[in-house]
Amino acid sequence: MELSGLKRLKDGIKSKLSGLLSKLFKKKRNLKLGIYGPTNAGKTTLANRISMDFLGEEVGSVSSIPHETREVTMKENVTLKKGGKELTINLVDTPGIATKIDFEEFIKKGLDQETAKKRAKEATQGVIEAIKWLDKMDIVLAVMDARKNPYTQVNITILGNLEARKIPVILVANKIDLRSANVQRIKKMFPQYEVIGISARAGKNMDELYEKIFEVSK
Amino acid sequence: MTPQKKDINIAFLPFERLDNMSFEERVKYIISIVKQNKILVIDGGLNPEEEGELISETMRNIGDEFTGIELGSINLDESEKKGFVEGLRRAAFHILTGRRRGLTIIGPARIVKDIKRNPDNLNILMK
Repeated sequence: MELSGLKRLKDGIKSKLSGLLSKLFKKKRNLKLGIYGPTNAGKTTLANRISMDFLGEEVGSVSSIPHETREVTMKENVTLKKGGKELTINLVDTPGIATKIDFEEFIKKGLDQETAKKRAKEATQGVIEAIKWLDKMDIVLAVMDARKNPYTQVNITILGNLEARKIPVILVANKIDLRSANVQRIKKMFPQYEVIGISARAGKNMDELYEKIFEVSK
Repeated sequence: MTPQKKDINIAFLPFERLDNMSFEERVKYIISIVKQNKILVIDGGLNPEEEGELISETMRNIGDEFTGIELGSINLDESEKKGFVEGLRRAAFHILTGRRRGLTIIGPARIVKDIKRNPDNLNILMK
């Protein structure tokens, strides 16, 4: 009895010590910065811009045909540097969230039927995957096309899910280099969020966005 | 020009009908109705997690015939959160009455072009 009690005590101390040591020496994991939004809002263009600015390489290809990004893509160890500050993140580009995907729309864009059906199937999987990944995010950039009406169900669902999970979010009003862009409309529709107007394609106002990412990551 | 006559099937569903179902059952039930080419009107709002799961379940069902949904949901319980006490009051209301305040419209994307959301109402645009 005494021996087994001693063993339990020894095991207990060993386990406590091991937990303490692993906590002390555990490498701090990188924050996952997710890029979310509806299709063709410019998510991959933004991911490419961030990755090019700090890593010198792109994350994925962009296209005017919706659902070009059909898989979650993660670029690890991207170190953002600004005014002496540094933040290493894992940058996660996600497929556009949509409530409908019709292969016939891809045919209208010039794809043959087989390719269109394959693209539609992959796109549905991409949406499911993007929603699943929400739980893994530490910060999210919710990207909206500043030319379009922001008060859509997809945008509301994305923001609602982030709020329910208590994930910090920055609203990114993209495409401000285009004439009909209206950042004020997004600010008016979502007054409770920080809204930064940028052009990922032209690299406009990216410094303000990086500043905000540093601020939110604290 | 006389507008073309089309049959539109609208199903009205009291939220209480969904309340005894699990999260997954609720979403599958909604999709099963919409897949019958019906526009579903529910007298209650969906919460963000249900909306997310509804989108995922829609994606699982997409094929040549069913191309997805148009969705509009106003959830007054979510949008009018006013702190802890109000939250408790709303939770008590929901437990006692089984009701949610709000409105949800879901339609098949082949029939419904768009459901536009204004903060206080929903407008359906048909194809």
